[in-house]
Amino acid sequence: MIIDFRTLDDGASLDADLCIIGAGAAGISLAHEFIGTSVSVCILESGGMELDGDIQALYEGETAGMPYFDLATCRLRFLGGSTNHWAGWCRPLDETDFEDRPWVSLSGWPIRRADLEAYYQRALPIFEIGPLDFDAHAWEGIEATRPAFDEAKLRSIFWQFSPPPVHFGEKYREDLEAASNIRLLLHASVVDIETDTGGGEVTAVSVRSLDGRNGRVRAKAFVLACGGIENARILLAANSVEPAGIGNRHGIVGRYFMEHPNVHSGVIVTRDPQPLMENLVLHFRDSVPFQPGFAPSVDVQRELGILNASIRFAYEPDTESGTYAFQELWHGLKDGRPVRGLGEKIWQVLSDIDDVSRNVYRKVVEGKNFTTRPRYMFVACESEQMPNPDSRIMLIPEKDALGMNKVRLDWRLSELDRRTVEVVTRLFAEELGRTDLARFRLEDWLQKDSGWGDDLQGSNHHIGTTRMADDPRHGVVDRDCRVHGVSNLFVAGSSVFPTGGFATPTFTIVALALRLADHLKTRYG
Amino acid sequence: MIDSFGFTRRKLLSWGAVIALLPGAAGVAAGAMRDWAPDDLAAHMRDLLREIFGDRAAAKALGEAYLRRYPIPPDPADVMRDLFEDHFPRDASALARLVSERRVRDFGEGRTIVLDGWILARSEAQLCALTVLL
Repeated sequence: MIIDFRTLDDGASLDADLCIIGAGAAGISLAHEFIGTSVSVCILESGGMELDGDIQALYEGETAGMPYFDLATCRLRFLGGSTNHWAGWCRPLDETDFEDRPWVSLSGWPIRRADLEAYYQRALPIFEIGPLDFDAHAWEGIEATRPAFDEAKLRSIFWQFSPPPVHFGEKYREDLEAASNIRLLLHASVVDIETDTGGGEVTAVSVRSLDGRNGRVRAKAFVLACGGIENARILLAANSVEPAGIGNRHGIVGRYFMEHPNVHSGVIVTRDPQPLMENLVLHFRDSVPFQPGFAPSVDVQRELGILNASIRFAYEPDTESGTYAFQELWHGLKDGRPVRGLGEKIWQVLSDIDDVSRNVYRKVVEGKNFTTRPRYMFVACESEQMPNPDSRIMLIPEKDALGMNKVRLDWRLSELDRRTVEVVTRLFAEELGRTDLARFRLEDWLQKDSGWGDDLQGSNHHIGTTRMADDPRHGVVDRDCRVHGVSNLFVAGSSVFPTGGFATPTFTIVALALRLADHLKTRYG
Repeated sequence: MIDSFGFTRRKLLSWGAVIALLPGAAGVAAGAMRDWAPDDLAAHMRDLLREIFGDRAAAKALGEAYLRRYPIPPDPADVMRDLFEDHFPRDASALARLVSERRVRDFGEGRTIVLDGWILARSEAQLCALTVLL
């Protein structure tokens, strides 16, 4: 059932077996696992069914360090959370991402990839992707030829796209509404976590709406699933019993904030773009889009002392080409909509008829997709970031409309983060040259000894602020995602990742949520 | 037209003409360098370079960039010896084939040089340098 918290009496008190705070990818997948069980679940979602400016403003905060996105727009605060604007990229973490790598400080998860394998498998249908095939073997399932790169240096990797990106709120709303053991409260923002006097057990969470209504939810267990920034914020702000915030006796909550640094690292030049355009772009396998890319092998990571990273071919289409105009005309005709600049488009096709004919031949005779001539080709690098205690989220005195302290995000990158991009880019350039597919020009900033380019950005991935570790001195949650020192408080989401690999995190967030669901069922079911 | 990478499309294409310079060629017609008189060697090499470089000006620009690394320009005979070892090409296709082999080896073993941002095999850079030195 779905309830608007604003329709309840002020001071309302609710009870449940399990209280999930946040209805994004993690919260919804977790709650969904309990449908039809004897466990009563209460989900608290701060927003409503749709984007609301006043609710979204609760995310406002400051940024420092490396340039970062506006905190009020880089995540979404309504049913479905940030899945409402994600692009659908899915990939599990690599085996090596879980391992202790001596050259990466504070690397090593308490669990291994094998511990998540079954949950990755279960996550596939949630995203409408599959099979669990994200490495070199995936070349065999698509109509493309693997470039003759040395896999001992640069291994093939694939992303799969949730097609179209699953918006968890839209997709699972009806299931949650129909479930008799689930109550989903909208416009219910958690503003405090109450504990017993020793701080070892959570007794309730305080809830508030923007219209000033207050309430409490008591439960046997609580799961924070609000994203990598808010999870830390809520723990830090819950300081009535623990002065530094819940789970923060060792000062780790909010630290080790990681992103996936995302840059264009150079341009590609070749006499014949066709092999690149045909093989290194999106391909479909049983309607699921597969995007190939490359990553340094484990041996290379070890030998060169670098992080994990991905690199992929990309291009800007030549909008003046005949094929580009032909496709616009074709789609306009097919969809029955007028084509802007019709005469110019027709002229563009006629004056570049060789390009169009080649593509029509390929499509009709060879069954291949159109490839628009590139204006320029470049390389996109998205890499792992080293855990860094100074890269962090902290509370600031300024408060939001609900009276909660806002946050400052201080995103910091290290020399190793930059060197990783440089090394992986050079490896890619060397393989392009060795196979004579193309030559490569480094971006200007990579020709210098230090610093980043103006186009550096994150990927809207907020990782590591409540990191997982067996030792409470090194992590906020244990291997079961339970907050150290608190018997019934758990955290879901990428904030628990001790290291982030280069893979987009949503797939792992859901796999971990399914694993947490199994754990909670054993404990509270 | 200046694109977001800060250089012109024309320049990009012109560099590309140099960088993608080496066609795959069949048959190697090579001989030992010691069989050639030095002057003949230089003249012959000049001819071959003229034949294989579509954009000689661009090749020269890259060659000059490479030579700026040296306080004193190297002896072209040394460059050729380093480049061809003992297999001096007798014709353009042999030159292309030899440099192609060196390129594969250089890139594979990480013997690369960054010239104006371009990551090139050392052998490619040496070949461009010869267009300046000869």
